[in-house]
Amino acid sequence: MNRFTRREFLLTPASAAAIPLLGAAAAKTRVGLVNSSYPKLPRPLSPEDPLNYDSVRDMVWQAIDLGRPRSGSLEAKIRPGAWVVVKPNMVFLRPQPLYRTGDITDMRVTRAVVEYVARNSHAARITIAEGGSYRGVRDPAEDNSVQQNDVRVDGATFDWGDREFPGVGGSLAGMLRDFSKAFPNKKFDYVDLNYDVVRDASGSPLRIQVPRTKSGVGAFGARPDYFVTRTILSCNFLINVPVMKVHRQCGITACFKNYVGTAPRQMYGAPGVFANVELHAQHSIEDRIDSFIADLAAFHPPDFNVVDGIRGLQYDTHSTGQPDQMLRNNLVLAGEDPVATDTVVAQLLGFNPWDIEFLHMTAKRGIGTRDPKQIDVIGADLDRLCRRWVKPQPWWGRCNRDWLISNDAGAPIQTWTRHTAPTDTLNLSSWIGKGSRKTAAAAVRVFAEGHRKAFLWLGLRGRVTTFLNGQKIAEDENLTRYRVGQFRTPVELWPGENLLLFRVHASSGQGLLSALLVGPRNDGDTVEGIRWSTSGK
Amino acid sequence: MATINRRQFLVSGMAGVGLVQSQQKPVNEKAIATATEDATPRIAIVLSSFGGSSDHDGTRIRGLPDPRPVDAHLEYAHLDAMVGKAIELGAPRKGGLASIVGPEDWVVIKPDISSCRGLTPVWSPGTVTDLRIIQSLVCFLMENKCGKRITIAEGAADWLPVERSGKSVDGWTTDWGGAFGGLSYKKMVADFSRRWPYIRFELLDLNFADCLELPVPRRVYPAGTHPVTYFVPKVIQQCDKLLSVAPLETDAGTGVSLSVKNYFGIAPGMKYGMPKRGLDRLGDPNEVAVDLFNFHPADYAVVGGSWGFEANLSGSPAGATVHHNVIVAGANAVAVDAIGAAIMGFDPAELLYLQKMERRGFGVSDIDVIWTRGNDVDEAKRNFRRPAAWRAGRNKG
Repeated sequence: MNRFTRREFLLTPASAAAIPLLGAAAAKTRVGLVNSSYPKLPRPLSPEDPLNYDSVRDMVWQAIDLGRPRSGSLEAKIRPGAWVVVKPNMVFLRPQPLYRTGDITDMRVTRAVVEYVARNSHAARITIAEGGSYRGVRDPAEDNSVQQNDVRVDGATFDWGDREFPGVGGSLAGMLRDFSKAFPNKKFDYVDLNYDVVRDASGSPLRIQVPRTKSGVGAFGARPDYFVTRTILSCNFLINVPVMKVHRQCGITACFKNYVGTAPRQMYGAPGVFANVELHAQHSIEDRIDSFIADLAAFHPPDFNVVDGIRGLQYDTHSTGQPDQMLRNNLVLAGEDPVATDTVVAQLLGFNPWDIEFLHMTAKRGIGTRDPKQIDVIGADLDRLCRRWVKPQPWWGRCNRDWLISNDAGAPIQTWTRHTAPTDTLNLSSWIGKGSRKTAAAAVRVFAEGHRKAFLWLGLRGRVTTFLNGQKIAEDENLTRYRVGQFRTPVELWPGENLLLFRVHASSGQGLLSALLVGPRNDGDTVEGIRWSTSGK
Repeated sequence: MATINRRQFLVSGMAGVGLVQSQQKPVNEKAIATATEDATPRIAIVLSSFGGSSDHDGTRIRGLPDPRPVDAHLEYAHLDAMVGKAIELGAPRKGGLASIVGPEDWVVIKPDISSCRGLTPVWSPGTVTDLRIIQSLVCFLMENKCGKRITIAEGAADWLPVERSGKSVDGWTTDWGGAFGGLSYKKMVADFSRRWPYIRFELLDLNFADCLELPVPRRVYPAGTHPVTYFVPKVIQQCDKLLSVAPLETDAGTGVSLSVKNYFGIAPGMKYGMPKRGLDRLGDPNEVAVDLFNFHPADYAVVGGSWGFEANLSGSPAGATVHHNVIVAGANAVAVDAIGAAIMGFDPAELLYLQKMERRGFGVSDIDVIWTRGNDVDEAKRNFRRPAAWRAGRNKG
């Protein structure tokens, strides 16, 4: 019998039609959440306790069970003889200046996942694959390399010692050797994704277009073709094993952001820089990286996810040197749906999931659900585990996208044109050009669940007069650099419907506008309990 | 833990050896970074006598064209050359001031004009920013096509603008008795506007500017507590780049008053009073300075000039003007202040606000891990008498 993988299914004509039906009929998507004090663990420990390998393994395996796929279990989803790739986040090694504990996936979590698959599945090959910001030992270049005892090491051979991840010592290569001995019928190996680019018949690196779904969703990035790796493209089953942290450019890093490590740095690096600088340069939109992480995931969406929430970083993605940057939470999440899993991660870190742009993109592609009401968090109590991690600076959530626009602010609003901006920024230049007065007006309704105090964050180019429910609340002008959130005005929203209206006067023919309603902490998060709409509902 | 001195650190190829992670080293580990990735703060120290020096790798650094003794009277050209040299030497690897400020940016320059000659009972040129530095900085920005709008902004503790006080002079109009080459802010901005008519130049009194009440960004609050809020002028949050420029001055609350303490001037007097006693209610001055800095961390910092001030501004023992021609500049305000404080004879480790700045992730104040270029700290050192009321590292913990 022919069997579809989930990835194959997503690309079939049937998928576009089937997804809404599945959503209506199927059970909610499952995400397993286990913290170290979860009572069903063999040895529950407090959230502050350091853990050993056995306790981490118990948590990981419990989370895998609770977040099991619709097929019944993780092992049931892995076909006999399959090539399984486990992709941790190992962006830095310890001696690198931006590393600190909590920056990368806990090696014990990676080990527990590999052990689970080795013990319980009929996989033939299990590969740990990563592309970090350090060169491989065979790379002739010296920069961005790491040494231990004057010997070049890399992601596979770096010896972590016995204190970084208590209970698991040594290197990944050593760990894989141990598994090879314990499971002689399976192959275990490590692939450095930085050097694994897909090549054409002549051996030249090949750019591949982001696959388009039948519903027409293609690339989100500024450039639609990417260098990707043979391992990610070819493996039968991809288990994504990220660490959860805040991220400077997309809010959170967990399942989807982990895909940056699948982009080969041999193609995306720059002279002297072994990071994906060209990935950012070629595929970002308005300095946001959401577009390319959503695109990279499209080449092989994760078949399963196990998120390391034992230790993570607040304030910024990598080390800032602050003593309270690392947060210990002692928890693990697991689930089949990476969109749902990252939605739960956003909640755990104190973000409003609405603000995470790549969740909108990946949900639109049909990879999963970002609606918390459609996610069943099984295991530990999510509400009790949510914390407010300190966000990076600058950070801003998702600006309004759906607008009503007119070049005649006096016309009845029912006659205004509906327009969806593809990014945070609404470019009104073409509307302004149509009118004789060189102005345009944009409006949006905001539905609030109750009275809400917020800050209205505006980005603008030109002069903007802002009205809330008919009252003028601000007049701002910007003739210098445009940026989201430059102008901030405290506002109070009524329960129910509110109308925000902006009259925009162009500057040098340009009229740019972005609008975001931020909560009282003024930290960039969309205020809780509001909804943007262009209709009166 | 094995320690390395500053020179070993610098020679190690900016390897980041064990500085960030000092624990858990079972073996000798190092990362070979490239120059472009080096994040070591580079801070310039330029005395008026700077005749040249060598970089850590032996590269020759050219001196000033017309070196003068550190206590000599300086003309604008001398200070301009010092500022230019400091900007050159204090440039981070990834680019200096000219790459930090973009051509479309709105730049706020925040000098210290807390007092005003003729209006402040005890006044010294060492208590305000040397206007020649501001002029030199603006000329540098314009010549490098940096910035589309330049706002010189201050909220003084001691003076009101003439339109409010009815007096004949204020901090914008005074020529400071010639202490700074006869410059005044008003004349300077008029001159800039003539020379660069397509750029908007303006003076802004932060005491009376539109402001917002905002919670402190990036501050961690215990569960169940409300965020601490401050009134902050909108311009501070709206501008794209903020340059903090301050003299070398001692301070009874924070030990030294440099580029970070300069942020007291952003607190609007119409909310906090003049002098800004209302800030006292918000906490220790070290904490308040760091909180205010959070609202728009300085994108570039310059401290020094011809004049500084030591001991107590008022009271006993009486303070005194210090004539010491030095410029310290760099893109990291914590490092600039640490070096400035070290030049003044303070140990940065005993300055509470620098400890707090480090804890909030704004940089490092350990002068052993700051790459100074130009003069050495020891060459530039001039011990300032300390304010009687200040205690090293007080409130620690």
